[in-house]
Amino acid sequence: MMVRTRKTVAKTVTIAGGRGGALVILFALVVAFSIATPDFLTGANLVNILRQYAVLMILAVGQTLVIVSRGIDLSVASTAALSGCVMGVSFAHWGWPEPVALLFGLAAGFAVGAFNGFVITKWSVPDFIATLGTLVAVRGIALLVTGGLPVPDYERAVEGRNLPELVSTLGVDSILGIPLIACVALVCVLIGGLILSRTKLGRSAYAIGGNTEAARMSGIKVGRSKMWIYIISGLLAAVGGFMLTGRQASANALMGEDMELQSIAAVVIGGTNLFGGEGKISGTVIGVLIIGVLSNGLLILGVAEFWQRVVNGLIIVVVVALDQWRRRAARAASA
Amino acid sequence: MTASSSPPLLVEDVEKVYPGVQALAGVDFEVDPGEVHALLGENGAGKSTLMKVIAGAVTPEAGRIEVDGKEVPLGSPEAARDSGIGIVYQELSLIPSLSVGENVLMGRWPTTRGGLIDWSRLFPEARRHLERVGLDTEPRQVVRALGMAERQQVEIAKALSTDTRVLLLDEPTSALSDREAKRLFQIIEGLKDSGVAIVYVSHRLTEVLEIADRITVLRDGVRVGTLSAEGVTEAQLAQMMIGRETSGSPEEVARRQQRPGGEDEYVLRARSVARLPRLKPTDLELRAGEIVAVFGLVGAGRTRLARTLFGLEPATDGSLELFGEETRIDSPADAVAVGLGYVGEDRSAGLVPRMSVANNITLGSLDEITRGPILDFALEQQVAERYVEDLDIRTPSLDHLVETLSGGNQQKVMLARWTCSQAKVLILDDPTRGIDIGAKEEVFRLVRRLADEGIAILYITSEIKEARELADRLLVMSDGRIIKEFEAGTSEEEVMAAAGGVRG
Repeated sequence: MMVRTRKTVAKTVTIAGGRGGALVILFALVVAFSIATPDFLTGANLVNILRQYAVLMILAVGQTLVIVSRGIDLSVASTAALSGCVMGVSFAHWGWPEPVALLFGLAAGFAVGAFNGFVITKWSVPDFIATLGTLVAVRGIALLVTGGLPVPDYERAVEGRNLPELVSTLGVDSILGIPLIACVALVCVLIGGLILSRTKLGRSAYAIGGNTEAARMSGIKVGRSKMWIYIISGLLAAVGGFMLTGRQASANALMGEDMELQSIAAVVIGGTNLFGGEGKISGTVIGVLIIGVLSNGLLILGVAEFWQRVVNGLIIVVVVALDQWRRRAARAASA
Repeated sequence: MTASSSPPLLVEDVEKVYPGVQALAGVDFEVDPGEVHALLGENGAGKSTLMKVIAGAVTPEAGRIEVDGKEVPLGSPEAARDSGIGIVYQELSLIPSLSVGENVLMGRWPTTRGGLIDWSRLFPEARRHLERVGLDTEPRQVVRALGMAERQQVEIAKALSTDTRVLLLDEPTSALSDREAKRLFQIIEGLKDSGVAIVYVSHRLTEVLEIADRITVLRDGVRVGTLSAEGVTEAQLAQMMIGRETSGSPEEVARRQQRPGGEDEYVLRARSVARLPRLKPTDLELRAGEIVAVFGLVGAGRTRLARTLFGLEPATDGSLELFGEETRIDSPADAVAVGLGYVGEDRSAGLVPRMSVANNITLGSLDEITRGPILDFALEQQVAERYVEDLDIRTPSLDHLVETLSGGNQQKVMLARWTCSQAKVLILDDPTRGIDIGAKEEVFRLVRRLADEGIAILYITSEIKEARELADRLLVMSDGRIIKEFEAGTSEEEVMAAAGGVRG
């Protein structure tokens, strides 16, 4: 009897918090906004949310991999901007063929990720500091590449060149009413989820995040795994940068600012342990949707943007506090 | 009894129970003024627990402690310190980034009227305390810049700075060189002359005889006896520490004799493998199906040897042959790839606590459960289930978090990981530390079974009984090298004497 009660308690607690808790909050937000304003729960508005938060979703997928392995990647937004810019500049200004320009943008993301991984694993620079450094430096490179001007810049562009066809199509068009940009995000979510839950690299990420020493002792190549995780985060940031560029029909060195913090917030709201070892991509999806729904809903309600920032910040604290409470309760119930 | 005739330290009937272990079973203990009283016993005899009880760091279930006839409240480090008890732990507790002076007066820094730290009083005061232990280091120097011996002196000065009547030293020489130890003994003599009573915890017979006036021997949480250091021999003390002479059960001896000995089926041969300065050039040979125990005191380099062989602290010198082939092991990944497995003295270091039992078991063999780039969950469950059954791991399910298992079962998960990865050589570093007797027996049985299946086992232990009970051969380490090899069945006294550094 006793055991059953305990199990029920533990189960309820699990559903009420963590990923389950995030889902409950998401649902509550949707209901609340739907009641508060008729403009929220409309097809057009929901599509709008998907379109606006697809890029954050892509960055947050990479961020999840990194955080599960007890790292943090502050450079995702800068990397997205850099990749978008070099892709745009090489295509429009330098006249490179489309596939080459796209590969160049991906290579930029790969390079930043590899650099992060290298500095962290070989030079033992803490993840936070290493990626804080690239956060700043990579924006600088993007400014150098673009000269601080939007891309394409019609005075410098090769005759008739704008942005690669693929980028503008995926960034803007829809199929059956679903924005393609959201489909790209979905593909990234599926790939990220597959890597995290069903590959050796993903399992290694959990082991490294849960107990780095144990991972090392069981023969996992910790340095190499972390390297690849940062590279994947860099590549996803590059894809995010392409989508951002496509959606705005323009790239610039300062785009996506603050998105690194939003991506971390989304991951943590989604129930991933900020100190590694626990977390799921599905949680991150919910986390991104919470941030998206909240901002969108407040905007429709006419809440001033300054207040939105306050609420956005507080929601992180509240959700994580709830999660900590859940963990304590779960521990008490299982003890 | 009047206050003037009361001993500086009186401990009565102290009891302490840890889950599954009676750490102290009614221990009495008394220290005379100005004496050095050694507390002697094997690892796990209860020495450190008794120390911690006296210092207030551990609350006993029962017992009484008096300093100079005044009762000391139990389980409060502050009360113990205020009563005049000072302790220097084996792991020093200095803050490396602060100055020597700040450390000596930790938390009791003199302040100016404005509430700021009064440096002009702090450093001279610290210097006075340092002089008592004969250390002329500048108090402004940062602790980080000091060597181990000096840090310990700082620690002693710190312990004495609160008007200390009784100073407890827990294994103070474990990290010191011989010369530094000699220096420490001089300091202890000086303190003794100034009237401080000293409790000296150790398991090194030689130094105990050198420094102590009286010796109390503990075994399995019970006081075996207290005697004057005058005229006692090391052999007598060793006998008291170990208890009755045992030579293993008859089945054990029979099992060992059945072993195919002498065959040249070496799976591992290390030649002058070294990682200076702590591990000196060491030769080691392991045959398939053989259990070789490595015994040594704290600081002898046992763990260093294990970690070096497994690539956790790669060797700086020497060569290694596995299955007759020259191999280099520079990382645990290399070690696992060539068929080594390692279970460390700290279980929590090897397991990922918030991963499931199944995930922890397969962590050393992810390649085997991967189909293409994708992990095969069904196969993983099958594999894990086989080992859970095979090693009798008691868990509600394969998906339970490994942290919810008992210590013994966690240790079995570690063993399962390496049987799952088909390891041919297992390095076990004190695998039974902190698990209860029943679970210990089970781990022993498993280790024997794995050996019978042909796995070579290097069993590192600080418990001489374990070493003798399990091993086909017994290596004794001291000061970073293997100094002696014994056959199974050698008496505990002989082994203990070798480990203590006694000739003969």
